[in-house]
Amino acid sequence: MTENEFIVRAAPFLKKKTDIRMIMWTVVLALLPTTVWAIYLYKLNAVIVILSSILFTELFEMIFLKIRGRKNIIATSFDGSAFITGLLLALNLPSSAPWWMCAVGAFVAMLFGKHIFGGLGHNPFNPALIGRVFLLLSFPTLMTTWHQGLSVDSMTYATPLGILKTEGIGAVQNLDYWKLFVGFPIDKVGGGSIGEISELAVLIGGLILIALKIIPFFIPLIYILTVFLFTWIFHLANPGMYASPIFHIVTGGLFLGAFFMATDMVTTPITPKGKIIFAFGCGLITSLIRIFGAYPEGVSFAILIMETLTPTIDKFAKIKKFGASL
Amino acid sequence: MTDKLTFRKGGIHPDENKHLSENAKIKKMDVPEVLYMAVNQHLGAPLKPMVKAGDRVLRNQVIAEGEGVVTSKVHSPVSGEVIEIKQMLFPDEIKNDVIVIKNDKKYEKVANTEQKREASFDKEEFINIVKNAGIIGMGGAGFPTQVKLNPPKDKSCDIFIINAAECEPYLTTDNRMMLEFTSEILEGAKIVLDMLSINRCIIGIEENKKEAYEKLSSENKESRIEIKLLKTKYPQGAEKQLIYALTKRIVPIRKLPFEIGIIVQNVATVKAIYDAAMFDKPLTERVLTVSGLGVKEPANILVPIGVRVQDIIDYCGGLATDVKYMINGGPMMGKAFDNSMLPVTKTTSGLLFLTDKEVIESEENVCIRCGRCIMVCPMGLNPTFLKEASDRRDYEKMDDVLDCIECGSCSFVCPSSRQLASSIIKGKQKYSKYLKRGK
Repeated sequence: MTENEFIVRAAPFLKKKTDIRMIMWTVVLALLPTTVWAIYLYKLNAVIVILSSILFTELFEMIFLKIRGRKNIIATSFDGSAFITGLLLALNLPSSAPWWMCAVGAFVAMLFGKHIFGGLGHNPFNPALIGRVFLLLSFPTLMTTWHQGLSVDSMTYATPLGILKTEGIGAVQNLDYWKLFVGFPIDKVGGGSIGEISELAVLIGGLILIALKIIPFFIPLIYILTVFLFTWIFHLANPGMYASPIFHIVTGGLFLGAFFMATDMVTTPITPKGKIIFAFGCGLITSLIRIFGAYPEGVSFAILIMETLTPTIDKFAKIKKFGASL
Repeated sequence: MTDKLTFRKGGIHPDENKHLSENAKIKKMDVPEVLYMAVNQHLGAPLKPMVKAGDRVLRNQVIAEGEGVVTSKVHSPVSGEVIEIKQMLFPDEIKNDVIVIKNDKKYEKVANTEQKREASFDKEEFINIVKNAGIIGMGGAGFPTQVKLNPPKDKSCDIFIINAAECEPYLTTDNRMMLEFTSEILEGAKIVLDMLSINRCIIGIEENKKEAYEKLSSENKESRIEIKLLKTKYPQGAEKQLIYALTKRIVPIRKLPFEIGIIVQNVATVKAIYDAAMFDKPLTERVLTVSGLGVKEPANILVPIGVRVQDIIDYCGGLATDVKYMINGGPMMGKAFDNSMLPVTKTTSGLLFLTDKEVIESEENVCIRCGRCIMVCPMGLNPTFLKEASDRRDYEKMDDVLDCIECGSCSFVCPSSRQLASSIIKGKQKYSKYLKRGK
């Protein structure tokens, strides 16, 4: 007779080891090149922005988990998701952002971006973007005060997209695209949010996520390609008025948004076809805002607007069943 | 080299763990003192016991049968006395009558069984032979084989597929059978081709069983039979996926392979067909894999149907102290049970004894909509959506549950450890009942 006690439950009994925690912390790791570059450019200022954003985001995550009566608060708050929100928020802020503004952003991100909807998995919008857009609307001056990276002076400048919007194409025509792509500081040009200066750093992290199959390659590809093609059409039609498509893809938050926000699993469509539509829509709205809008940059708004459409896109972008005639 | 043959949509690569038993030759287990013959082992209308307590039965005697088309028979593997007929609770709370037979060790056979069949037979007689031998799909589904061999009059079939994918991890019975009953399987295939007037047989083997592939290929002299190697990917052995991998034909949704001219049988079933056609031998024994880190001596064994799991455990050296799961079938689709007094049936392809080194338990978490379940679903379904609809009994949104092949790939990949497959399988039952109620 056997005396073993057996567990009876439903199949399957094998499981892949990848869990939420591993996915989330891998994304954090993929943001490391961008983070390092931000600190290299803005030194202590960047460190303050990054640390206060992350610390306050984690703090508010814990507080709201507690208020919601959750168990395992410490384990849940370090599942990586709040850490990503904090880091993404920081990377979307200017180097001069004071610590208390990071705290306000973290509070809004965690409350109105996440916990009011029931926490991880239930939020319709990317919490970091909610935090960022709230700050942009509440503190328009602080949020658009840009410094030149590596510079010791306290002068502030407009970003390349800002210069394009206010001074027209003539003022940006001679900017070095390669420097913009790698993220080297350019004289008398503001860097932008600390995470969007080096497209190269974002690309390295993004490729890691693609290689590890955490994000599909086609979301950033379609997003960036759409912006490229759309701005190209305008540039071809009137090169004296509209900037080159290469200028558009190496400036602003396009890469950061395309690789790390338009790929957010919770808030974007779940079906492959839906993801394609989503990425295309983001590209279209970003271009429209940049070319016709009042704001120089439109990545945050584009992603938020498309996120409102996520449930609708999922409903119509059906998956084809194996064996279905259509 | 061209792309390796495999199915198109989804699929996963779980740890195979076939090394535990793949080189273990099939051992014949001694027939125990008492056998427990489950009356219902097939998929279809329930059978009735044909014997009662006190009756003497012979080896190969029919002890349970039924009426209708989708039916089968159960034969006694031994001669002896029927002690009692009692109800037992099988996995999934299924009640089943069990005929308990005391083995008198004389093995007295029903006249003319288990000897070379002299008379030739035609198709109709062949279908009857298969039916009377009680053969059912031995890969696990248990659908009566005579029904699957007999397409409706208006459908003509041109390809006979032998399913030797054995994509479930751990299981190695098909592998061992191909190595040790090579000629029987090839002969069995020929009989089916001749009887059904089909000119093409494809045996599909995953490349983790190269030795079996090579042995079959070198022994095969029949031009009608092709042996094809498949890329190892779960669930390759699922009927629709295997058909696509081997022929690129797609079974239309909710239709049978007959629709596209195909008949599929499992390797072990083909061997049983051979035994029945050539030797008038009913299905009273089968090969199964006993494996997992929880059993002392993993093995492939030939056992009489009706042997208790406990007898097999004892035969395989007993269990490790840290065993946590006892599973009937493979680790992806098998059923966990806790009563080792239950007997083996015709569809028991394996008995696994797993420890928590192999099975990771983690708490179910919230869906983060990563879409991995969608990416791996071989049927192109949306498992997370169907799970939620099933749990809520949202019948309007549940129709797709009927297309689920229950392979468990979705649960396997879910980073939140959600029990997607089991919810959808339950949803399937709920939805079928709802449809029967007439909406």
